Amino acid sequence: MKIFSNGSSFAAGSYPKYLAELLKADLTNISTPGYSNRSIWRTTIEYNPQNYDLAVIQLTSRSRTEFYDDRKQWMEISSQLTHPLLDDKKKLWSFWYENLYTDEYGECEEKLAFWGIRDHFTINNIPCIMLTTDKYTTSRNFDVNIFDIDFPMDKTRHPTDKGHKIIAKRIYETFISRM
Amino acid sequence: MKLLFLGCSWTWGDELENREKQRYSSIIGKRLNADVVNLAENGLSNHAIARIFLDQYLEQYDYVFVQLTHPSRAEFFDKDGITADIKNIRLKQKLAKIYDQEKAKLRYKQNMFKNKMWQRVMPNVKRFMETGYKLDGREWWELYYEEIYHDKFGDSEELLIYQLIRNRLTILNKKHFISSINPKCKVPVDLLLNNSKYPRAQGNHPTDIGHLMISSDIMKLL
Repeated sequence: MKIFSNGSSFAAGSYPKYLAELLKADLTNISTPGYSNRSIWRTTIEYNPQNYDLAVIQLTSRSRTEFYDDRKQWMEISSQLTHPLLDDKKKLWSFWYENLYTDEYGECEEKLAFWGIRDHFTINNIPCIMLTTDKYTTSRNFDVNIFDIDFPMDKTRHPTDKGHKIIAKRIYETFISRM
Repeated sequence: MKLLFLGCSWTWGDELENREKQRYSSIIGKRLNADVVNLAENGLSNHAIARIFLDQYLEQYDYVFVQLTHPSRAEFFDKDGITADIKNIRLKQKLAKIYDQEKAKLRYKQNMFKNKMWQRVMPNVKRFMETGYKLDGREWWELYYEEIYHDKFGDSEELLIYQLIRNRLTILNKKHFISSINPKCKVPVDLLLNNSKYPRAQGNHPTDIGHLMISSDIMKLL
């Protein structure tokens, strides 16, 4: 069995590995901390996963985005503007979040990414479990909102090792219930 | 038979004398003896076309025609946009309050009121660059195109949206036709409309003859 995983910092942690252990599967995990929904959608399509038995995709906060910079390639942007290489662009992005960004825009981005990813796996006959770590999402499409699960977190508000095992078990149960 | 058309000014029929009759969607509808729903608008971006696409109940259509556009275009949701031209402050505040109250109800259904709050941004058209959001005295969107936007971003958006539309319609088992007016289009659309053989009006949109030729070319490929 082969599992494909993508997402941001939560998925870059160890729940995909624990899920692969539960299912005795090989794992490909291209998750990267800081990824936006657009980055997760783009990198999934660019990777073009084929011949997998399960895809587990974790979407993230709707307000994140990305842009392309010749020197720094794709750069992740979040409303905290913590990216160390933002330099002179920080003022522009700060204005975006203060004046132009709205929940409606974020919801639209989330919806485009959700269907873009889910349909890619449907077309390729790969079962797909869609997760989110956006606790305020209004979308009813996700299979699991990770913040609906009771799990311990560390000081950085990410799951502890035990937390990752709990999340993996929940995804495992979701997958088994569909078989 | 019912047809859906999505796109920008080319599909909307800009610069035609009798838009409803002369645009290529109407000609195709007439030839196929079908009802036509044309939701194209001037200045729409690929982002907007995909957003409107996902808002539709696609099951009702027999054929879906999507025209992609220049990938550099953008849009943003401007909550103040709908009241921007209203001078009466009390009326403006009242409308903003109604919007906040109605927001939850608006969220899950397509609504023209909400649709009008999406502002279109086109880097080469002045009126679509005047959004009123200024940073250090300059339109933020001017700075966006100078400092942030990159062709690689536009190309990736074109690919993502092309695949989203193609995959969705394939899964729904809907006959469909995807075209583009982007001369540098990098995705395998069914027809590239930005072709010099189609006669153009002053504003670069197809003339009535151009629309007739486009409809013939599309019909040959259906």
